[in-house]
Amino acid sequence: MSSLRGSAWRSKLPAPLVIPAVLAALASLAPLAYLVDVAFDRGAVYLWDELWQRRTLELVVRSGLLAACVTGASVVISVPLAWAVMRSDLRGRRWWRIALALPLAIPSYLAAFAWISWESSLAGFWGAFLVLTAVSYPYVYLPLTAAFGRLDQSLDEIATIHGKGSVPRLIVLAARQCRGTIAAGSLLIALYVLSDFGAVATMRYDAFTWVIYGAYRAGFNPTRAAVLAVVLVLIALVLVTAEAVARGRVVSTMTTRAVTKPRPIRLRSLAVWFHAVIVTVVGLAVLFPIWRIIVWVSAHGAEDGLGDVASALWGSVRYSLVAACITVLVALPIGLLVARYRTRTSLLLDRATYITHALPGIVVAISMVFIGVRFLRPVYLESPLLVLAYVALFLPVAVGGVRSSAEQIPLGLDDVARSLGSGPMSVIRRVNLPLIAPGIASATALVTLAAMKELPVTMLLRPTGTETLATRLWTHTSVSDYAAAGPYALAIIIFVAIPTAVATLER
Amino acid sequence: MNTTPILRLTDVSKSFDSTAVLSGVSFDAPRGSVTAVLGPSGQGKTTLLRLIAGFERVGDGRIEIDGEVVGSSDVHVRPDRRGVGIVPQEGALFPHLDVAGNVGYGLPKGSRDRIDEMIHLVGLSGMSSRRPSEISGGQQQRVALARALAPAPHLVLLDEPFSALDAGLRAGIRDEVIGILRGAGTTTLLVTHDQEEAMSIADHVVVLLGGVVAQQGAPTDIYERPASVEVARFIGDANLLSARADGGSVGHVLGTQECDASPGPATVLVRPEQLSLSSDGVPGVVERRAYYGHDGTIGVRLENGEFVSVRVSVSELAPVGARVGVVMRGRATVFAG
Repeated sequence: MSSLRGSAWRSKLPAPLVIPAVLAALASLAPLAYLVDVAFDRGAVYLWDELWQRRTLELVVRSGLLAACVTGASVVISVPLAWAVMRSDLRGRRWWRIALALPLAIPSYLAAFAWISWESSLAGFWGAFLVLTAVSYPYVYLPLTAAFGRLDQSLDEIATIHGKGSVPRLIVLAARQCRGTIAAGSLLIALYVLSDFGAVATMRYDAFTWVIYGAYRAGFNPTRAAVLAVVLVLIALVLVTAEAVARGRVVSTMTTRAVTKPRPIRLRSLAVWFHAVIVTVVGLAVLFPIWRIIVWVSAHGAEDGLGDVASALWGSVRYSLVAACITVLVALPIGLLVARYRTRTSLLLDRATYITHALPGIVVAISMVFIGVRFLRPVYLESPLLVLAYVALFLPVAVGGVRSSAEQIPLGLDDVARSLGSGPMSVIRRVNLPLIAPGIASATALVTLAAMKELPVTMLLRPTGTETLATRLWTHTSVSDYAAAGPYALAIIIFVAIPTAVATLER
Repeated sequence: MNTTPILRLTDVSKSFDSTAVLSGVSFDAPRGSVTAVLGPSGQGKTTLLRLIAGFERVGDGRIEIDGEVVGSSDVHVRPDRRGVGIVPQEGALFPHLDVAGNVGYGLPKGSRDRIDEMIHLVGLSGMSSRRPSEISGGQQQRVALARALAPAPHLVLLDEPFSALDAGLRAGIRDEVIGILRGAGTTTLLVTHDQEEAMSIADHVVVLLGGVVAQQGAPTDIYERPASVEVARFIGDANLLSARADGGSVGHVLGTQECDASPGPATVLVRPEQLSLSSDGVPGVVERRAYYGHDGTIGVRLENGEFVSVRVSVSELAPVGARVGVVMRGRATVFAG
């Protein structure tokens, strides 16, 4: 169809955007580059020896096993439950749909604290498995509810006509149609598990992030920490790339024609079982941690006093807010260029920020420590370095937010504005920025919350004497002083988890 | 009076990734005229519009606006400096601005009077503070028009501006918009795939097929004297019959007419309304019938096996299978080959 809308821009990129965008992208890749440099510090032979050890292989196996088990369990939970809340006549399915997404808002170290403070024998693989499954299954569950909602019900009807309309068969049918979505979500979960620090650290499970932290902590062997971090990043890069491919396939096969609103499938006697499973999942993943924390606080009171909690909260809010504002500011040129222009430069920028998705918090933290000690001594363990690390870590989140809201503006609006006499920068100021203002606000909120619940970067880079909710909780948990940790956990629930849940569900 | 055309395209070509989208396009849009670029989807119409507006660079050839070269292989005047107004499909109003804000976008600050004048011109007085989401599709289209006209551009480009509107509203809004443009004395270039729309409102029609200008001229010229079989097929319903020329005349199943075509096989174009039913006509059998309310057409398989479509009054709509006779009025258009 002949139209001015949707046709790709091929004009030159405005330099006032390109220069800061390229600088930001390069800066966000700097930690990675420096990490590689440190890994090669003692030469390739040393690196090879360090890699080619039995304990390295064991580490890969342990981390891989955890990632595989968590991913598998998450798929097994998510497929039937997402199907039940989207396609069946399950009573209360609208509420269940939301309740099942809530674990996304709970930081892994918080859930881990709740479990380990209840039963210390959970430490190790099973504790990490339980906690990580509980907090990460929504990465499959959420996209799957969206995908199931778009499915054409006529296939269900055809299956039923041919006598293949039992509930398990219909679930399998729906899942097979959404293979791509399940694959993309599974890869995200695997990435989440490999990047997670809080749960494996609390459960003392020797996965990559915990061992990297240990190697760094021991202090004598930065090269080993760097080498392991590079290996972790390489594995993460494979996952990120595979996820992008899987997601690309999903988008291209998505049906664009209008689909009639499906008629819910009757569960009859099976409804009881679905209710039981949903209650168990929500109970384990959401209610139990909250209940445990409330119990601790009410039984032991606030050992640290309200003042300590308030000052930790202030520490969290202050750095997170500053970091969020800077991150979004830095993300703005990249997001606008990627969304509004299709050129080689903008595609390259897109790829570059995508790669930073693969950088786990502990890796960013360690490389920032190296950079701080080596080049930025004056700000090492000062607030600028912490904020810089947050910016590097959360840049992809902010770029994603800016980009998705900028992509919703029809390109035709830019064309019209140009024809009415606006230059490229004036179009951005008068048309694009006002229209993405809500997107900018929500990206800032999301980054603030993400920074508030961040653990490894905060722990390693916080200015001397500064405490945040996350670091306090971690410090007390790591010495099994659960009573002292309780109030901080409660504050994280109130000031981080609940707002995150609200912000996520609104989107 | 200044007779320089407002818009002149000379041999304009454009390729994307070595695929030619436009080749050697030349035409003029005279001052104050309404010119329609007519062609099926995907034949380069949008690219042409984007080249004129300055959103794409010209590959080869030259575009002049009011006598000044704005685009060629080495000149590219930026879109914001061309003085070309655009009315896109579905209006594309700025959603964060009200009606007055949209109309005033291209004007210097403090142009309140001009904004009011434009809003009045398109008949939306009293709606200046409405948001785009609060007005109807037709009103949005009029705001888009006022916005394009406000800076007094040399030329206004309309990109399929009516195709998103309901069929029932389309003709009314179309006539109104063209009326406003003619009243303002603006030079207008309309891009459309709707041949009825192009024929009914334009002074000058440029038929774009496969990225080249297949024909240009007044609407009646193009309908009555199409330059090629392709144009004939695209514009209106066409019966194309095989014929034979013998130097002085050309003969086909429905008759013979004088013609100076060189001897050999030929094709003739006969419009359905040139045909009628008569008992002494060429015999045939009705294979299809379509009823349109005001009239209808029947499809007749003639005795030599050729198929023609005949426009008939409702009372003449013969049933499928009926034997009828077909006669032709006027002259057929002859194409060699």
